[in-house]
Amino acid sequence: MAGVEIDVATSLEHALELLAPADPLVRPVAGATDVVLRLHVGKLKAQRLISIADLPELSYVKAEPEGFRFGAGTPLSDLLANAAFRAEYPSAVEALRQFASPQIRNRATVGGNIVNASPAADMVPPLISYGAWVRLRSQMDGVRALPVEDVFQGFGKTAIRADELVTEVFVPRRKRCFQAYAKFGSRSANVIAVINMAMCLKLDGDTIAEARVAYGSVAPKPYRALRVEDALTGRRLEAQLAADVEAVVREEIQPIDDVRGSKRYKLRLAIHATQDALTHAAAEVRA
Amino acid sequence: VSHEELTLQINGQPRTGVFPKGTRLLDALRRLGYTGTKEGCGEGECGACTLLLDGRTVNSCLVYAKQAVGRAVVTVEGVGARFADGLHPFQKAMVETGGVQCGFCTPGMIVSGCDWLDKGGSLEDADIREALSGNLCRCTGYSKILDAVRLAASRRPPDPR
Repeated sequence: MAGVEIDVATSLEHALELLAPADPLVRPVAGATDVVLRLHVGKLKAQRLISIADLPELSYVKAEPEGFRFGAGTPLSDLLANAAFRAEYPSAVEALRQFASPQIRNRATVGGNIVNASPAADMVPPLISYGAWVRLRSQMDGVRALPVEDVFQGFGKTAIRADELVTEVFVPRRKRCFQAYAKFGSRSANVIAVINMAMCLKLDGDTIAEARVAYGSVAPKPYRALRVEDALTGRRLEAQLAADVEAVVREEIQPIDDVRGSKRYKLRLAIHATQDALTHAAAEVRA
Repeated sequence: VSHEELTLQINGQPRTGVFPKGTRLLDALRRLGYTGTKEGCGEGECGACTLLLDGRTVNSCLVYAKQAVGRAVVTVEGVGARFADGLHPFQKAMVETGGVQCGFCTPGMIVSGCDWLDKGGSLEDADIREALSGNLCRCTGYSKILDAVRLAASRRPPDPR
């Protein structure tokens, strides 16, 4: 919005220094693909933006023995183009492929999609399903880390303080896991999810040793479905499982009617996405 | 609203202007006379304001002008600069196939299409559609635009590798 002051940080340390006073009206901004709009329509209150866009210290993808680390300022298109990442995280890749448009993916960042705290965020359900963490930095505290699902406190609300920056995302190795991502929208590009879902299963033969399931657009914040996870853990991948999971999803997911879909439709989609993923998992195990 | 002076590198030329603080790159360009870049939706949906920022397509309605200082901006006026007649093969192909109707989406479509072709993008139908998925056209039904991508690609000199 015309009128907002923008300071362009020249380094990560510079950005932390500018944010140190913890003024809630001073906001960090990277790709700005959502911030420009939210400021314009008055949904975001800020007098000053600290631009951290294009800081090389925040833009990298590193494969390490225990997992992948990527800079919070990594543009989504860079993550999508990273061959090593693509090979190990197919559900995140699917979320990235369906993320808005090439132009947005070139500008929007992984960290931005998290801190924006939209219940419909495309990248967040896969990250929760992997058990990913974010690393936060501030001048006062140095470094702290949070599981991705603990970042969110409500619609657009996070546990991140005004003097903190998300600097890195860590994703544990998930190569041998079954992964699924589903997104439903009115078209295939540039669309906000009616609902989305990500599932990551650690399998022992055809038995689910560990399950992580997250949904978007079904609650005020991205939602990790602990009861669905419990219902899947220890079960064999058989046809009955998909039938049994319906009641659990129905009980756990409580979407609301909104512009993108009715409560009933969203619940139906969430059930379908969950069952479809389990059917695919079973087929993969048999193959 | 207070103002600030910004210098942008546009199509290889430094251009300086005084803008209200918080000005979007789109508005800064138009005020500097680069009116090829259009505002369609102003919300990052339609892609009419697409340009290249450091060699990547972006929606200029979603970038603050100040964030573009020190970076290379290429607008629709600049995509054909390296060709003898000043037109990129995709621009010529769009004229030939009739990929232009009302013309409002055209500048953004040109920037995305030229970028795809210049980067050696795939010519599979689904891939071209994906490459242009951030550009909406309400006139053509897209088929002539897709034809133009293929026509321009067919005239691409063979890859020396």
